[in-house]
Amino acid sequence: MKNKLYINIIFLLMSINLFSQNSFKAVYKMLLEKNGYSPTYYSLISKDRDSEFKLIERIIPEKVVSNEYTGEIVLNTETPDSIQPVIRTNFKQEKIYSYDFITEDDGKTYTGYSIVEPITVKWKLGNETKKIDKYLCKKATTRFRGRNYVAWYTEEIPISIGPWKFHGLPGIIINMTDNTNQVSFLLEKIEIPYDYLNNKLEVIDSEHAISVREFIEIRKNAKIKSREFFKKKVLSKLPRGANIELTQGGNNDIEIEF
Amino acid sequence: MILKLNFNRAFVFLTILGFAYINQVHSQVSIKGQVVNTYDEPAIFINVYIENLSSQIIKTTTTNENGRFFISKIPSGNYKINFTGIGYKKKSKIIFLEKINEEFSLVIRLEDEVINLNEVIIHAERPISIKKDTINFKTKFFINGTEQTVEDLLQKIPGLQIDNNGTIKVGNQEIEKLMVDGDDLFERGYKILSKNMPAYPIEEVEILKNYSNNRLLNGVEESDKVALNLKLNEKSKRIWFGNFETGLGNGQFYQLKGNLMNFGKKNKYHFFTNLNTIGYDATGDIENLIRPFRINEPASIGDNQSVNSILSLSPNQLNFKQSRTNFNNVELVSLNAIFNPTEKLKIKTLGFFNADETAFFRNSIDVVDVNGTNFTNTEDYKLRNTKRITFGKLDVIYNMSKTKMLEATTKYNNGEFNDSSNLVFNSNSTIENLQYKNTLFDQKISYTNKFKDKKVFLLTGRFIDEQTPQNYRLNQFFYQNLFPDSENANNVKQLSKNQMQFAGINAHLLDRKENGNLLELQLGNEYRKDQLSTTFSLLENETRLVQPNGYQNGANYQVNDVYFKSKYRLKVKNLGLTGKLNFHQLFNQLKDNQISSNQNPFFINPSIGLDWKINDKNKIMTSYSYNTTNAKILDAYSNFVLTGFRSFSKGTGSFNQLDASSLVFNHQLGNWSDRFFANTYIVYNKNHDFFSTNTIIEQNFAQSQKILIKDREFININSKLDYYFKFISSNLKLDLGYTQSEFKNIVNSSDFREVTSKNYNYGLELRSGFKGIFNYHIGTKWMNTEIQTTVENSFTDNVSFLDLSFVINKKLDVQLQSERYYFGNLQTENTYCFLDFEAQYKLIENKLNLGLSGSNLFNTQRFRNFAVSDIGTATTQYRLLPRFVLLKMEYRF
Repeated sequence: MKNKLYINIIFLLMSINLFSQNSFKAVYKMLLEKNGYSPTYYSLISKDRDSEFKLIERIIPEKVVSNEYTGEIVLNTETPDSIQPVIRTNFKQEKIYSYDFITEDDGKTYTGYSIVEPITVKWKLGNETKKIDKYLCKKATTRFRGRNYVAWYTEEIPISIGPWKFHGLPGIIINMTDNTNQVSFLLEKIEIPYDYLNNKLEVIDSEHAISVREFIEIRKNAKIKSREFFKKKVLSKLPRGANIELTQGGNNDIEIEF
Repeated sequence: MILKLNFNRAFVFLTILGFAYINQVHSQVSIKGQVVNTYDEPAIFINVYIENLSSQIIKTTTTNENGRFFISKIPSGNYKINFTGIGYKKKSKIIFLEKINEEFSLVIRLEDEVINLNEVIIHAERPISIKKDTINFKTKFFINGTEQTVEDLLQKIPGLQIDNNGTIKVGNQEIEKLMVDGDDLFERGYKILSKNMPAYPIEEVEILKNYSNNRLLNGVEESDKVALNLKLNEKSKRIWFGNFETGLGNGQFYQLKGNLMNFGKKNKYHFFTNLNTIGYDATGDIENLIRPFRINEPASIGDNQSVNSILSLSPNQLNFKQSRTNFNNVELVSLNAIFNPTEKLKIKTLGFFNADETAFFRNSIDVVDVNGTNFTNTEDYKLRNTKRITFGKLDVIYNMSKTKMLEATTKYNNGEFNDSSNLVFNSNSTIENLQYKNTLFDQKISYTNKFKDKKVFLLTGRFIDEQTPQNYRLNQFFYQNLFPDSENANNVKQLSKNQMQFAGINAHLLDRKENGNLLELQLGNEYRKDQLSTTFSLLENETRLVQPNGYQNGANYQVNDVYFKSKYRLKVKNLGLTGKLNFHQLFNQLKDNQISSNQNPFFINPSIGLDWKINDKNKIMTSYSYNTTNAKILDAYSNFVLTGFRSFSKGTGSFNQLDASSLVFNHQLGNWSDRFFANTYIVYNKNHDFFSTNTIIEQNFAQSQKILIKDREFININSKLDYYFKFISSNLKLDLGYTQSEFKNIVNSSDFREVTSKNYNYGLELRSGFKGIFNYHIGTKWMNTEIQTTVENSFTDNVSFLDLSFVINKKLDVQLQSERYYFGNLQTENTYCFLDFEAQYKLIENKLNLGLSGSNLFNTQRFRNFAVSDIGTATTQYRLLPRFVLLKMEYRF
């Protein structure tokens, strides 16, 4: 009895150890054309076999000031001015749950949706290597939802969880960009182990989650409606002789094809 | 603590039990296995990946919650299988997968590896880098090789938008300028560059946010401007490019425009020419370069200092498209260059030569009815004007260090004008001839020192010398009543010298406080000396009879203004408060016809402004200011000068300061892009003193003298409403305005006459925002004018327009514009209609465009309008450029 208790305690400690060694926090800088390349910072936190990719802060570029003498850059952060999705990946179930928003009524209101999908990204592993910072990185490519990406990952940090929905490489993704440069993820910071005990992961309502296809259908309809309304309204407000062309630079979302 | 010790001292054993199944049929093998730790517990989430012997990863997976993994479809061969995971040391094993069924298991003992990472990753080369207010794009990451022009290239840069007209926007904001290696040749006329310059030499594109024209003021002055900078490839040689545009029409109408550019890393040249006879203002294209538009910019003293000509035969600004009445024949060439001899030195030069011959035709009937004086004057006026303008500008910018800069601008202008009018005045054939020159020399030097991170000191000095001598002759003598002794006189002439010298020095401190508020202090001294001398002679043929007393001037007016200006802007949440306090000590000296007098007034000009964003929908801006201004030379001289063929005027002959208060209020409801948007603007001005006139009017002449009168008021209320109707995809605009002003004057020895004028206008517009090829814009506006003296006179005019646009496809578009003018007080011929059109066809994208444009298609020959003043009414008829059609071609090389 005594023995068993002892073993149990050791086991418990071991588990905690394993978990804390398993846990990490990575900070990714996401640069999107959509946001005018104002950097958005996302944390990727993983504990157990569960991960969360979530916006932490957005830097408004107008507020970026630097000191020319010291080279120090002061970032005045403000709370994000637009809503951003949260992505949770459950590797036990091999499913991605995300919570995303659709703006309606000319951007004045929005509705949130829970979405569920399997982990689908398929990597093509290349031979090329490149050194980023002190890490030797290998190249991997993938086509995901309409964009062709190049990712540079390093086996030196054996984390197979990646930003957004890009999991499954045998090392952490340090730099990942699509070929139009509209989307890129840059690893800014890595912390292992990470004290997750004080941090709760976002809970996503998995029961009412809809499929990606259902979500896309809803979003497409809302977007078309909203864009057309905006264009007509702005065009009709111009003074005489003035004209505009709303250059719809295609779809600049992260995911564009389904 | 316990946890850490436990872990660091422990060894973790990793046991791998691997099973390999070899699939003989497809020569492919599958591996299945389990990974466990030393406690025989499954090791979950371990990366398992197989490399060939040249380190290329073939397959990868992770272990599940039972520590199991499965990798299938591996071609047979020799491999290295790797196992990695956080907290475990990497384990690799060479395996041989052959075409035989084999089953194997491995037990591997590893030392544990504690990962304790907490670091920041540095990325070296990025396609996009953001530093401070600059976003930098390395073009090689964005182009695909099909880009011809800079515009094509910019289209590929994410975040930039270029519309059909070539307007470049960052987000929703148009760029201020497009620079090449920090050099700007075009200011707002950047489309000449973006549409013509080839893309290949450009290595980087930079978006500069919060842009300041003076780089040291960046981050200190208020700015929301954005600019683009193109960086040239180090290797690229000199490049030549440009375009030309020709338009040929019926009759003598034509236009020719050409741009030729040569860009190198160090020097850049731009050659521009425009020849036309279609009423197009050629200098308009380079106006930005001659006088860059800089509002409220530090180091801008002396900008409003110039000589006002006393006599002009040019037509007044018409409330009408100027090009319709401008019979011209203009030839303009300009050469514009930038040199960067060293890294710190930049030299910019601009020179142009403009020759123009214009003609202008006007018939007018003036009915005067004032204090018992009644008469009607008719004028049939034909004006011919020739001018030659030579202009040169030199900018030298010396960047002494990162925080210090010296800038010098020299301008020289030489204009020669020859105006002659052929006038039939009450059936007297009259010929006026006015020859004049304008010579300007302008030198400005400014020194900027950013002595602390958020503090900038500017020292600016400027010297201007401008002269406008005039020589006026009139072949008639209309002033018998003024000069009863000169019976033999049959013509007159006036020679005038009008000269101004300005010298100013200004020290300006801008201090952006920690809390973001901006304090500005200025100390300066501005000196201006005006010399006005006029000689007026009555002649009999070529013989001078007399130079009448009271009609000759020799005024020398000097004003020295020592001032201290302060401005502070306070921002608390949604409330901004701007306070200004300006102190002026003036030293005035007037030497008029040998009599000298002095005056040393002191005054303070305070002002306070408030802007308040009440909530997302409501914004209020209001300000109050009290302003004292000093009289100018044209207010101060004491004898009459001839200012037109039948008008004389003179100043007060004394020093004066004019006081005025002004109140502005602005309310904004909603935002411009909202469905509903309303903007209301109210201005109230009270002139505590103002200059009015004491006038003697007779049929052949009017003589007016400036007098100082107290108190007059001016109020203007303007409201604009926008509402977007979803069901017709159109926006309705309402425009309501009311203006009331009053003044007092004396006419023909009357008492003070109070003149009140009231204008109100109301209009509406509807513009569509259709998606398809067709769009319309229709509007109408009524304007009511009412003048009240002893009698009341009022009328209502109307202007309407209808514009249609057809964008048939990407290559072809057609625009139609029509206008209708109605004058309520004209009995006959009171409605005028105009129709213009423009069609464009892009034959070869970015290379060759064809176009067809038509002006005045109804071939309206004349345009009459009607005006009411305090002394009577005027009906004026202008001759218009006849109908013409231009066939255009634009070619880029």
